[in-house]
Amino acid sequence: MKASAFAYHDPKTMQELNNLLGSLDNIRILAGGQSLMPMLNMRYAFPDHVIDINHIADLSGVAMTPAGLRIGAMTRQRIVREHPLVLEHAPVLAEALHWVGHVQTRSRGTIGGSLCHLDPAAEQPCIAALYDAVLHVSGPRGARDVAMRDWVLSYMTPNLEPDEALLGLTLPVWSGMQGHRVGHGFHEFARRHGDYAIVAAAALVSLDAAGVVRRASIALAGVDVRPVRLEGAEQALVGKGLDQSLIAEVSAMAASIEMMEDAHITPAYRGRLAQTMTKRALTDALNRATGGRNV
Amino acid sequence: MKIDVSFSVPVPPQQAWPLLLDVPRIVPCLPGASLTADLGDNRYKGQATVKVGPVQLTFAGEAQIADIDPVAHTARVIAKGADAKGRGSASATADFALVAEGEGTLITVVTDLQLVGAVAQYGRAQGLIKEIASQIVEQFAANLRSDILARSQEGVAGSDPATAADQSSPQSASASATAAVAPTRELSAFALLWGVIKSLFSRKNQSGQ
Amino acid sequence: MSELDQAQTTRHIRVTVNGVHYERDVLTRTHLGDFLRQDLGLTGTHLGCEHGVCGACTIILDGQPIRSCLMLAVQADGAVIRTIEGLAQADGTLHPVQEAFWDKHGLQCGFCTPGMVTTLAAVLEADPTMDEVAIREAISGNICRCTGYETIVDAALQAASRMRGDH
Repeated sequence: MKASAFAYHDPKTMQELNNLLGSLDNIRILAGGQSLMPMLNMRYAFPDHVIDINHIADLSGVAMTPAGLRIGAMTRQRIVREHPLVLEHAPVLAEALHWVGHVQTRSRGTIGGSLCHLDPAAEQPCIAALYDAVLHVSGPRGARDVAMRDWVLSYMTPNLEPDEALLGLTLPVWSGMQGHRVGHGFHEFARRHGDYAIVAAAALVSLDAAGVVRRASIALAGVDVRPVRLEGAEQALVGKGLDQSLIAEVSAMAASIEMMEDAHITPAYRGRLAQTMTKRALTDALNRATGGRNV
Repeated sequence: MKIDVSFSVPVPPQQAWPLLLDVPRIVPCLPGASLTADLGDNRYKGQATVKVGPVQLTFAGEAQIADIDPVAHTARVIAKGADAKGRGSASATADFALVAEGEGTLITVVTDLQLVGAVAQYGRAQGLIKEIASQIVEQFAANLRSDILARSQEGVAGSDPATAADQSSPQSASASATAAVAPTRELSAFALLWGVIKSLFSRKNQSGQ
Repeated sequence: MSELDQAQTTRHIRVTVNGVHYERDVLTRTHLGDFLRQDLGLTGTHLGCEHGVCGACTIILDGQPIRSCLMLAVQADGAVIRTIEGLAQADGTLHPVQEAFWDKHGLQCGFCTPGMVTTLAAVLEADPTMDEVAIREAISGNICRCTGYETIVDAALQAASRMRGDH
């Protein structure tokens, strides 16, 4: 199959992009193309306009800011996965990217593209939810920030007006407070490596010197149209010593949230996967936090 | 595919009924829909644009209101539309029923939707289409409520439509014209935000508890 | 679409492929795999699925292995591309990965082979110290229906060893 005809645009500036987005209808933005091109080739999507944003400067890059780790929307997944700042300040993102597609797709795919495409099983939105990331949006009315909690409006629909685009996101990193150690984990179940997750779980825990949980974050992908934070489980962890039995106890909570259903996977099975992936992610987080490294 | 939705409006059935039959008035309340012709005899031509995730579908076709029962407050809408680029078509039969609910009305709609052709590939995502349908209906209900409120503020609602029309002065007529909701191109961001707010209180997001 | 104008549906591009400069007009909806095969006659790159899962269309663009079916030809304007046809040297000396595929019988029907060899050439050139686990992961985006992957992995391990200068 080949893509049907469309008008191709390649703006060189954000201003040009905003103008195009404001004046045209039935558009898809082409970033890395790893999700859009299959849809075009299969004629699953048939936009009248394809706007290629690969020529707009200053949309990629990784930097530490006072607010956290800022990553430009057009930063290739390959770069994010290997970037020293990511490895140092948000290693769970690098770990999640291990599961994203394959070497060929990570060469072109972008973190911003994944955050705007919003496949329910995608790993990068899951990490953004894990960190309560802030997403930076730009449009003709100016710039605005959107909390990750408010980002997914519905199935594969980000909180973007028709004439807006994502510039990047900031992950408020978990710095080691005095004596505290942060551990992370990420586990995914998919039929084949590189497939979209059936369920994925990401975890961050911050332990004090006595091994008591001071802060916890657990996010699941693949269970709903948006990544789901296990807030009940997080609260159940805080103030307690983290060990395998507590991990088993809170992981069971993952099975009882309302799960989406599809033709292949029953909610009950998905729930069991959620429980197992959560348990593995928390176990890794515990091991990393008690391994003595400040991550 | 069967889709069940329902919504409430703050006026009793005797008032809601004529409002819902006033097709040119209520079509603009439906996000992504527009009326192109009134063919008479309760038949209309129109257009509807819907986003299914990353895909935008536009159908142009006809709708007919049939089986109108003004006593039971039920009606059936039969609609057929084809995609502009020949990628398929959609047909739907929607049964409406109005029931008194406190001081207002509960409107239930049971729809049988069929997709034919290339667009039928989206039909496999039944849960998704139902979610989109309920979002469209939520936005429709919100728009309709604003419209009803605007009309009641002008003193147009709350009485028999014929008398109301006589009563409306040129000033309130123009005010009610501007109060009518402008056609939306597709699901508006407001609608979707509303969906978010609603979903925050729904079972789905009470995670881990 | 009658209202689409020329500039939006056709573009002029310049690419370097296997060291040769080309200039062509392309339809904007044509993907890079089709451009290489149809416009440049380089049919070594194969199209298995055209939706980014099989890896048969893998080429090396600006030093990175990519799926040529998931890139528009127009996006390759200014790029430096290596395809399977360009891996061997001008005098015909095979790339170590090609040599190893020969030695270890890393192909049967040959359909996935250009993608496999190109992917392995790219990743092993970047890091010839890759072990078997890393190699298997590196080719996880390339599907083979014939070999069961064992001889492909054997070939990759041999190529890696040669490229490290082991013997």
